[in-house]
Amino acid sequence: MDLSTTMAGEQRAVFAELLELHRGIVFKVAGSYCRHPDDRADLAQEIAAHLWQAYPRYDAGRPFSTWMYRIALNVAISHLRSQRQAATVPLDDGAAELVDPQARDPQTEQHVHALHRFIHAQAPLDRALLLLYLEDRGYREISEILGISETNVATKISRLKQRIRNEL
Amino acid sequence: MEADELKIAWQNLDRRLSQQNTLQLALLRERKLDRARGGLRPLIWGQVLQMVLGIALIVLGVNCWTHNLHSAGLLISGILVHAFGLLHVIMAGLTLGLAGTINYDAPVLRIQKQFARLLKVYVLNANLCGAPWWILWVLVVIAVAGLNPNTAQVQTPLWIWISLALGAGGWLGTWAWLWHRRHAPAKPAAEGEPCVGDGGDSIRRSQRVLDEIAAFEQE
Repeated sequence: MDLSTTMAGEQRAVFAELLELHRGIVFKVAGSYCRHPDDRADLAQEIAAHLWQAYPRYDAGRPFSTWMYRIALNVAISHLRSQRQAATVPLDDGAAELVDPQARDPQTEQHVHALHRFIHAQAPLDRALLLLYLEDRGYREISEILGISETNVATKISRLKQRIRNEL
Repeated sequence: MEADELKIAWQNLDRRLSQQNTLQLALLRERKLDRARGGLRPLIWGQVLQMVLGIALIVLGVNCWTHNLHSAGLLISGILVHAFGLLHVIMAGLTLGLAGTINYDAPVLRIQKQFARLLKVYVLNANLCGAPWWILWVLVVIAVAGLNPNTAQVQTPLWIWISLALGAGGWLGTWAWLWHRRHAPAKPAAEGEPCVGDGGDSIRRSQRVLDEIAAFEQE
């Protein structure tokens, strides 16, 4: 086995470890942009493939999660825009899997379904902001991921909170 | 719903979706990571081929018009083939240049803007370099004939004129149809899907995405 093969193998192992550690990001982004479980699995796969392709350019001095969010959101938004038939998917599609047989509180159930509908009713960029807000990411990180100023992030989150209060 | 209830709902939603993700992670490991379907590779190869075609057209056009300076028909055909060859190379170069700047690890808004611009140039490229083939193929046939000194002296056959007339009609018809699609009123978008399935053509869709990004950027 030559040196380059060994290094590629090592790189892949490190990447697999990082992906395992931050896999929640991939699934949360895929879950926010696809309602149907099969589409979600495809998108998650697509995100993982793009992460792997971009991995040689990753700057280890910067947070891995920020880099991962950028790629995952870019892939998910492009995926959503390319799915022209997506508009015909019923709003409740995929909601069946949200049913928790052990759930006892009807209000919690109602909240979960309302939030799911609210997320999928957002425009692609607003959905990215909502996801990052729900994930408790700081304003600076959100601004770095989306490419807008921190002030703009603050303004948008304030409006988003207002909309959540009004609509949910 | 208040902030704390929202966060609880999010945690619940995440937990329920995670139950399926355990299975999906196995798939993520098993499948090959080297294949990204949404990548730009097919587009890049297509543009490289267009560039090669453009260069071939330039070579053919230049050879035709430089050898037939005294024959108006062949001279014009050669110059037109030369010009279309240049157009193919320039548009392919422009599309490749834009595609080359796209890196998924850049901030979301920058990449989405670049994608929308790329789509706009790509569609323009298809209209400028694709539609003229209604008559370009006839010009190519004439230019090839112009390379042979024996056939160059022969009078233009009738089928060439008929093909040119039909081609010009088809070309104008294609552009009229594209113009109509571009200016036709868009169907209202489904709730929550403002950029998807809008019933418009790609240029209008790309402009819509750019407008949406500009609106998002405003505070």
